[in-house]
Amino acid sequence: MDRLESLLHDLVSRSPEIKGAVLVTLDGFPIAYAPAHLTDVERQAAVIASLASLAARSTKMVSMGEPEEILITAQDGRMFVYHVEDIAALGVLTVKDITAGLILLKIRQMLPELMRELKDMINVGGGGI
Amino acid sequence: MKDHRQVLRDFEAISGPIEPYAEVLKRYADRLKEWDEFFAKAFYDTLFSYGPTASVFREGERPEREEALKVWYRKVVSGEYDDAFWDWQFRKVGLSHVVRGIPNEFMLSAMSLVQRVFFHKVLEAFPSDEAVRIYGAFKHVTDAIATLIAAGYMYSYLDAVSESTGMSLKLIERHAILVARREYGKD
Repeated sequence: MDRLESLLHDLVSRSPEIKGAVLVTLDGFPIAYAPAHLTDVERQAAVIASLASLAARSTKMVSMGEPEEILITAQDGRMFVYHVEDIAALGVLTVKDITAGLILLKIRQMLPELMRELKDMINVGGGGI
Repeated sequence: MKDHRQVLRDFEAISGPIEPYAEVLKRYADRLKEWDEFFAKAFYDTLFSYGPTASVFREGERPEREEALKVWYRKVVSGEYDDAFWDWQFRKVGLSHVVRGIPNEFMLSAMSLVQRVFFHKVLEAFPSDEAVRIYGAFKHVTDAIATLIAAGYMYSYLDAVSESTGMSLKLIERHAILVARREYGKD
């Protein structure tokens, strides 16, 4: 398991209300995800990248700057989406009945480390994900 | 967005260079240009007689459209093409189809009509060996134009989706690939 998957795995395993986390390129390809048995990851990755793009375009259009996070509340759960700088997007799926503030805190605490790892990976890989 | 030069380069690499065919049309241009009136009538008689294509036009618009088609036809059979001509097919014609909601299948069907009408006309007017040569030239050039219009239409659509949603063209392509793979049962 690489470091990025390990970070996502820690997030998911320590929070039973988190059902899955997918880190994706802005072109819609999965970079890392947890848990390992998460299904339909490729399509989830494309949708997460699309949500991140749409949010960025929407907030720019109304002069609100870059979006920090997107929260979608659905009948059976919630989806959080984050722009990881201009490199990637992170989607986190949770059950519906959660204390959103606590989940947000956990994700925000993980993000700086995730960003560092991602940048290291790009540097080692020669610039492209 | 690809530009018209790249689309044209791809067309010529796959289907053959345009210049020799343009030379054929140049030799017969004066005679072919005389058919502009006939062409415009045959073209719009068909389009106005079919509900879905007729509904694209405004009331009273036919004379204006016929004049535009005559200009286009005379330009095509002149065999004289510059960069602005190809760019016009790619950008302006493609975009005008987007604005009017004319999908590529209508455009390609109409281009097939143009080619068929020309084929019959040229067979009537010339000995068969000349007719085949002239028709081959006309078909090659109008196929190139149809390719440019279709590409211009598609890239305009993709640019509009990208511009309005913030999704990169690569991300849109990714969605298309995933859906196509699912549809073909390879996912």
